[in-house]
Amino acid sequence: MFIIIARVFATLLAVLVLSRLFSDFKARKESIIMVVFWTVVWVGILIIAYFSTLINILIDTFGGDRTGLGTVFGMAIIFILFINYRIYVKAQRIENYLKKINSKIGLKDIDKK
Amino acid sequence: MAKNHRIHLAIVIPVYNEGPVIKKVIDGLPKKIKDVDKTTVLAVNDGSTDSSVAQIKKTKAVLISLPINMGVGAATATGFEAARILDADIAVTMDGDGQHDPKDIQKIIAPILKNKADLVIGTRLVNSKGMPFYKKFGNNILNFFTYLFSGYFSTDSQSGFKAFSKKALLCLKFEALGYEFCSEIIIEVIKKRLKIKEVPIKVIYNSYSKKKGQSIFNGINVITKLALKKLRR
Repeated sequence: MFIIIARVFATLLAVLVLSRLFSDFKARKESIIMVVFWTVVWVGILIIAYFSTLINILIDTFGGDRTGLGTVFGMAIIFILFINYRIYVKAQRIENYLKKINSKIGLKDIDKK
Repeated sequence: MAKNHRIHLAIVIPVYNEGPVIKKVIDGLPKKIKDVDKTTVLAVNDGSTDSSVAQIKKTKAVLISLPINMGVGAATATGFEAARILDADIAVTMDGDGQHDPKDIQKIIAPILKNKADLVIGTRLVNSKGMPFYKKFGNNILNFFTYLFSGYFSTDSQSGFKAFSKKALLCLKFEALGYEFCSEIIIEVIKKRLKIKEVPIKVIYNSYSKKKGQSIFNGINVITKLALKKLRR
């Protein structure tokens, strides 16, 4: 049951991301490099969702005796949290920078009044 | 405030798509306010996409136009910066949707003129007749969270009708962009050990102003941003 939910969830998200990506590319808001990169990532996610035994093969091939699915899952969460943190910090910086510029433009004539 | 000192009042109105009402709001401001020698209305257009700018230009207000919509907090902070440049002694913030009664300006600046407060909050919840129940409930939740983050319980932490002394105007620094700005003001004022007072104000609720204001999602956003701000410090 869980595997079916995971597959439906992955498919839904992939359709959402890819449709947005291609519409942005059509509207010239996204570069071809980013389209290729995110398409590869989401196709990869779909492959893992539908052929989950691939993870076991990978663990058997590259992992030691003590590596299990939990280790891979834990590492994935840590990686996502790290990316999340980096995006948050960058977005915060950009937001502050934008606020300053926005305010400066608005105030450029105020001392003359 | 020292006698014989000419008082300059700046009225800061953040404006985002208030085209249908903004001219009426600005024109409705009192021409003369007791104990105030000069009044400057600063209308901060927060990247509106409607007729707000054209409507503001028809009034006596000083137009500060921000090219990008960044939120009510960013717009108000820019209005404060303009008030500092223009050497205002008192700054009053008012909503652009016409929910505040301009006659209350006198009431809200009185404690500052008497040196009894640095921040005066015009509270809508003491006399909240006409305010929809869900708004009252949401405001009380945000009051509670503002108390958690600041240690000060305000009866209306989210009120957009506030008055600031020159001291407050000069020493307060704001980071918030959106509605969390209202709580940030209280947090900063408490941190700087400035004096706060609250005065009851009248709220004018009509079909237009009822549509405006904060949604439930905005409320959740305010709490999240306040928590993140607390964590960063």
